[in-house]
Amino acid sequence: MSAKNDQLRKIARTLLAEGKVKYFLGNVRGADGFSSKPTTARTPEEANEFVWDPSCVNNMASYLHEDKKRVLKRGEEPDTRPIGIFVKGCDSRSVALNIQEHIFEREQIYIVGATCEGVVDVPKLKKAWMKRGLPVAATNTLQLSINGDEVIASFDGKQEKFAKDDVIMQRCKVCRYPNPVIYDELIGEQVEPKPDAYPDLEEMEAMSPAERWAFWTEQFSTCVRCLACRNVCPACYCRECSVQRSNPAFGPRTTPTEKMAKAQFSNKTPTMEDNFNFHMSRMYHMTGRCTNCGECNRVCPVGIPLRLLTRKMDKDVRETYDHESGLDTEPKNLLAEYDDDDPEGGFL
Amino acid sequence: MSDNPYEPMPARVIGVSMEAGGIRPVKKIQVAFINEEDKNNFKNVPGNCAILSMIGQGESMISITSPPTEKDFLEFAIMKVGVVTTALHELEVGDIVGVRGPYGNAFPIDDWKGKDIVIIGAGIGMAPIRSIYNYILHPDNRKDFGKVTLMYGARTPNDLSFKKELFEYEDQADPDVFLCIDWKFGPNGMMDEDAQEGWPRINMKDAGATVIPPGQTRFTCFVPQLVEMIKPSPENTIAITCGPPIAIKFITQNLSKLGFDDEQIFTTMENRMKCGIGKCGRCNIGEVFVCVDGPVFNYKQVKELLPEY
Amino acid sequence: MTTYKISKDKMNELLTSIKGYDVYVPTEMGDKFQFRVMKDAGDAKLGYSQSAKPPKDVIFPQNEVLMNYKIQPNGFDVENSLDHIGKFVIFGIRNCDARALKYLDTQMLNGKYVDPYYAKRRENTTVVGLACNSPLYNCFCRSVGAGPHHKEGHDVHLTELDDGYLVEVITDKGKELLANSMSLLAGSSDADTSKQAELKQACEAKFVRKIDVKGNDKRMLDIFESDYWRDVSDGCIGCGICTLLCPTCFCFDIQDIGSRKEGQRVRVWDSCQYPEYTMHASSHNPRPGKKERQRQRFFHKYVYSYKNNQMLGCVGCGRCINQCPTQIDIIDVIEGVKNVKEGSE
Repeated sequence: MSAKNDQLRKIARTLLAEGKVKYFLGNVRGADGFSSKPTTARTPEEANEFVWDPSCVNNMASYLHEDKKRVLKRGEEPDTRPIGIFVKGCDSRSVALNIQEHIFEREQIYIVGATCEGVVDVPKLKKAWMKRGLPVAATNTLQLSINGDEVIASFDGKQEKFAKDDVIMQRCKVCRYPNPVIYDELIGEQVEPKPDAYPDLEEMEAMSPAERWAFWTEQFSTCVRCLACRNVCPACYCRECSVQRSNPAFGPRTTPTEKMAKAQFSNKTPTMEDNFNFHMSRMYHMTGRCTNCGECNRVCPVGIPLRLLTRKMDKDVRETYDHESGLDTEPKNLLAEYDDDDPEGGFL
Repeated sequence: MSDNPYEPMPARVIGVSMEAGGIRPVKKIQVAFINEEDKNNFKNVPGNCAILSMIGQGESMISITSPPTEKDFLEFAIMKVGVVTTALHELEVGDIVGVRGPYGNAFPIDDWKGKDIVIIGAGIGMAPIRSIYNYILHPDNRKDFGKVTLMYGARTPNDLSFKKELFEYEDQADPDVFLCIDWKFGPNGMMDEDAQEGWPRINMKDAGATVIPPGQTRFTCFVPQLVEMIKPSPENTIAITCGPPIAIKFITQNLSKLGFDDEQIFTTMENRMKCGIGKCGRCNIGEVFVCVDGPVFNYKQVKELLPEY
Repeated sequence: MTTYKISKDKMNELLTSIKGYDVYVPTEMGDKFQFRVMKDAGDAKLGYSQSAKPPKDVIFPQNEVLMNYKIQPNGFDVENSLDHIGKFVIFGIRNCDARALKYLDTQMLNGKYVDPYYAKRRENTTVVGLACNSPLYNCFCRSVGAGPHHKEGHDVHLTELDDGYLVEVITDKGKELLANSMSLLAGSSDADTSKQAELKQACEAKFVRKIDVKGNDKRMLDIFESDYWRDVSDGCIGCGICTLLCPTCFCFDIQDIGSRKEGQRVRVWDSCQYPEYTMHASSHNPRPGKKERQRQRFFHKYVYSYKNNQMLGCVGCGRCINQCPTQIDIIDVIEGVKNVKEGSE
């Protein structure tokens, strides 16, 4: 077992054993061997299952919100201890964003950060694996690591090497924040960030408006509106989402008239208009807030390249306003700030 | 009637009356089918529900409160809680709504002939069981049943549904009616005073020991305690109860304490429903679809359900 | 049943010769496959592995207008969309997905009421199955009573051989579909049939994962209230991908779109993973958390369906495992039931 795993387990175990955190969010090995699975450790024993290797794609920051949404049982005292969380460089920005936006206070989260050389794109790795005719049954003992330009998979005492560029997530190839921006404890050596460039946007930016329209029309036509992109997003924390039409009550104290007056941006029906409506509303809500963790892109079951949109937005926001969210814990909000250097003469 | 179970039948609103006020008001709506054919085909029995359509707003499953003895119209008691019910509250006489149904199973009223009947409602829970007492108290059917006792509670006197007829029954010899309203709550919990004049408090800790002054039918307490106090006899008796899930739970507990068998207690389990015909999936409790296999269950059946309601 | 053979180069011609139907074929989209209406026979990628979405939406569309209606002084004007349902072919459906249609039949066509929209579309759809020769890693159809070469629910069954496709015409519907294309079909030889059997065996040997479902339903009921369900759903984000991509999931919602005067009543897929799915108007929710909602999914597939229809609600396609953003694995969960200690916390 790798030293990184041991380090993470030890930290989490100690925190839980000493009662310093109420629970700890991290990854355990998934059933198919290739992927890891987000989980909540409530006891030190459970923390012993944690892994930190290039299969840890999940951004644990989105699980923080559940704590806010939980309704206490009658007579239950709120547990004020911090939540322990494992984050990579990109995830740490999501946590920082939540602190910037006062969803959590800094001391409510105990951050165990890890420097990251990239995480694997599990479907890609699986495909490459199958292509080489490797024994699928061996994946239970699979261990992944990154060494320079190679992803090394070791199993049953054997080693299999893949070119890093072939099997890691697209988002890691342009990652400017491989090192956590905030943390209480750090695992690993500092990693060199990738250059500040947007090579992944070139193709889309070269398209004419008509071509872009056609491209996105086709992409959105397959959307099943599972809202996984919203649910997994660490910046989407509204208790009630404005794009979702819902007939029943919203809370015990919502009056019927209030319910009738609720905004409905789009119907539940996944028609083209509603799909556009949903995705575009989501993008605008993300303006200047998205930390580009790329989870929305990863989870999409029909493969809509949502990260093209968030990256484009990121680029425009940075070029126009020199704004980037989730880099520290100081309150900062693009839409609520005005500066004399802003390109517009006023903000209304 | 169309073969398509999703197609609503047009009906006209012929009567609207406010039943209860407060934050969740209840309105009674009477509708009559526009087509004679629909009217003849619609055969409801107590316990059935129907789906009301508000065009542009959606559909809701609502209990039919009028007894089958009422042939000319259907009556619904609708609590204003959601989008569709709010729209239904805006209906005026002459407006058109869609009705489809009747759906669900029924109370096995024919098996109850010759028995005493105890009807216990809480909140809007009186709506599904109103059709029973209306059916039983109908002059044609009254002789088939024994003593009838109605027990009903709501938050305030204003929240009591069907209070007009219930207050009338209070003054009559038959049926026995007992009403209650909730305790008043202050900043320190339950307040030590009657919620309303004429509605005396009872000892909540030992409701069974309360001595009921003759002629007193109104109390300040919760429905389960009302049951404990009135102590209906389980001898040759059927008890029917409906209300919020938590109220049903305690009412049935208290009935069991009084010696009622599980098969003597009936309740309706209303879950969220959409299609009404066992297709859309959401109303299941375990493998049971409430909209077709329910909503009426006896307590023995309820105990066999998975605890997810 | 009659068996024919068609050479690979004539397949496109066969597809083009189907007239009067909307032909749904597996097409390539990015790095995934999707069933879409064929515009050109070249779009059909019959060598596909598995479509991202199952083709159940041909028969049970995610978004189906049930009726258009208008309020008139004396009732409604209802325009029922039932009258406008065309004819469809699902060409190249895998056995898992075809078996799922059989399961949907038990839900939508059996019981006290028949769903008329489903019934009409089902009646109008011809199913052309395509035997599976290389299962994916998470495929486990053999564990749940199906298999890669099963022909249940198919009107025509195709098997890809080295030099062509074996075409087995199973039902009259299948016969009717191919009536115009008979000239493209040749007779099949015994060698072809034995090759088919060989492929079947080879494919079955490739399966990696499996579930032992025997006795699991009883075991699951025993531990209904166990914390096991909380633990397995810890990572769930409640997106409902597992249900929206499931070929057997049938839950839907009925929504009205329009004004008070006229509107459209639309049926749209829903998912037991969404909190508002079961929430009462009073805001009481029988399934308030992700534990209860995930548990409902496993129980519906492995307990309730079997009780009600004597058929598991899972066909082993593995989509919910492949596509779950947080790696919740139904095989693991169902198998894990055996290891839960009785009454354990």
